[in-house]
Amino acid sequence: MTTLLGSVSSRLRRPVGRKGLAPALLLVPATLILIAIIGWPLLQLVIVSFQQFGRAQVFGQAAPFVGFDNYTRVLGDPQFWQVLARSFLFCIVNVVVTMSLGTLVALLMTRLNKFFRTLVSVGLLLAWAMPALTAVIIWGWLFDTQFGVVNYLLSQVTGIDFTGHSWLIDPISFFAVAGVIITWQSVPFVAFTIYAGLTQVPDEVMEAAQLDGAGAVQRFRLIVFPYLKSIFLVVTILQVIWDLRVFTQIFALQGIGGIREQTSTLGVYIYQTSLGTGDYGAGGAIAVIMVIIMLAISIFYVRQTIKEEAL
Amino acid sequence: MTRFRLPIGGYIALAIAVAVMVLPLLWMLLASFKGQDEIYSLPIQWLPSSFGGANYQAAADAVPFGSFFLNSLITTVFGAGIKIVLGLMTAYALVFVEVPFRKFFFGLVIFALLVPQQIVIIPNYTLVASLGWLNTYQGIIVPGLASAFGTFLFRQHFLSLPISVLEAAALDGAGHWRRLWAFVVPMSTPTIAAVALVSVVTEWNEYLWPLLVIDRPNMMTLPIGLTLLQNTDGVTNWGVLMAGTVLVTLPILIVFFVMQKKIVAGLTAGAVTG
Repeated sequence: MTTLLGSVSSRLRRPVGRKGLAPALLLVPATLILIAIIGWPLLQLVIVSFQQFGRAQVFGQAAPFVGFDNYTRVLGDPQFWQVLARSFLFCIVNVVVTMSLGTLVALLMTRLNKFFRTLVSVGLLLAWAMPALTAVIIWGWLFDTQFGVVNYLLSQVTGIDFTGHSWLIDPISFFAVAGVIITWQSVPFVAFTIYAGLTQVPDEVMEAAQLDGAGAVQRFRLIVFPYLKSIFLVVTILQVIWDLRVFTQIFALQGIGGIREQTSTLGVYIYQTSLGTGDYGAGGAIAVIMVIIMLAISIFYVRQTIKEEAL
Repeated sequence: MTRFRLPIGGYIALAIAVAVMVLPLLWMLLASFKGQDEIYSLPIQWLPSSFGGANYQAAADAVPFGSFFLNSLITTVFGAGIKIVLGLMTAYALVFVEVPFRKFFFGLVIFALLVPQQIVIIPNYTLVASLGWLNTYQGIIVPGLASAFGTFLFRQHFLSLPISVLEAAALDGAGHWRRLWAFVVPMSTPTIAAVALVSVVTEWNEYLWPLLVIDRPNMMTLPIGLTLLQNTDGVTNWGVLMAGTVLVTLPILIVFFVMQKKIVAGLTAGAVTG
């Protein structure tokens, strides 16, 4: 079995037909765009991160090189470490919750008849289709201090008056709300992909295991999980990357009523340092550090893929 | 996989899960019909007193929704369309053509998948600004084209296609270009549908980038225009804002429903082969 990003080395297609300009024509446009949009800016970013680059430089003044100045400044700033720790913690919690819920929904979906499964798919699709900003606006309102549904229902159920309780002012509950929104939008992708994988687990194996007296948990741990290991790996890595670089949800929630200093994650922090404060050098340094972190997280997977490709 | 019967508790858990998924959307829809007094009322009024379109009218009056919609449509259709064509071409070359440095190109694609767009956003901004592309369609569209997700899914799917068909086509004298569009593409519709949907949703919902390159209201896309609606007056008029939100979400939901069946099949095909 191969996966979303996995390799199919044994079936690598041999070329057919004559050669000519075609290969170049097919590859050139996309490669040019990748180089122009990702390669070139990345190079710029690295350069800027070694320069003193402020607002004056944006308007054309020469940017002097300052060596590792920006990096020492960033790494010496306690706020950077707070942001980094916060981003990682938030990311880990989100990934664990998203993966568990997604797997659970996928497992449940395999046991539904066609009608209910379609119903669940449509629900998942709806949440997935919602623009991130729109989702934040709606959830932000559900959690509104004065007229939010959550406060109202909590007051009704517990008998304690929650009216006026602010969910966004306290960093912990700010991230709880942000986590709910992000999980809400990420579960569908995980659930669909894992469900797709589950349909590939052979019936005979599952039946045999059941006859041998394996319980549901055992069947999942001993059969389903090994079968889907590569899918779990890919989806987890994608989720880590996506959740670590989360921007819109945090940025928009801060707009509704969070304290920026206490709730910024890496993506938002880069934006604030660069465009907010105008310190593009430091912003570039943080961005470069973030790319290195991303690469480090996924290097294991990339190496494996490239290695298999080489066959 | 064997379909074991789901115990009643499972159905209840699922019902709750689906409810949590759908209720915020329902709440948005209901609120878009409520008047200001119905929204700012305690205890909470669940249903609007009437289903009139006053909020929709107010939203349309406050900001030029027509031009927002047109801008979103143009950037989405072109952005997603070009992205899919480029992805198909790249994936075809990576799978079916003996390209030199095939590994290098594939590495490039993986790398592109890893680098978060927002990290290259500042250099891209300077680039776009220096080209004089601020407040233009190409300014919104072009930087978004550097997406590797489609190339990945296409490549994965192409690897599962029967090579014999392409060999026969080659013997009949079909060139690469014709083989791609006349043979490979028709055999890949579910995957293309899945990638198309993901691309359309991403383009349509894109927030940060258009926010940076666009500051003229007549060039704004829907998500950016929505913030304009949010900021028009001091007190948030939730009814109007929700009406605007419905207008932003509706087209995507329609696309979703039209393509729903193909999409799940496409994800399955892309996720697991063999």
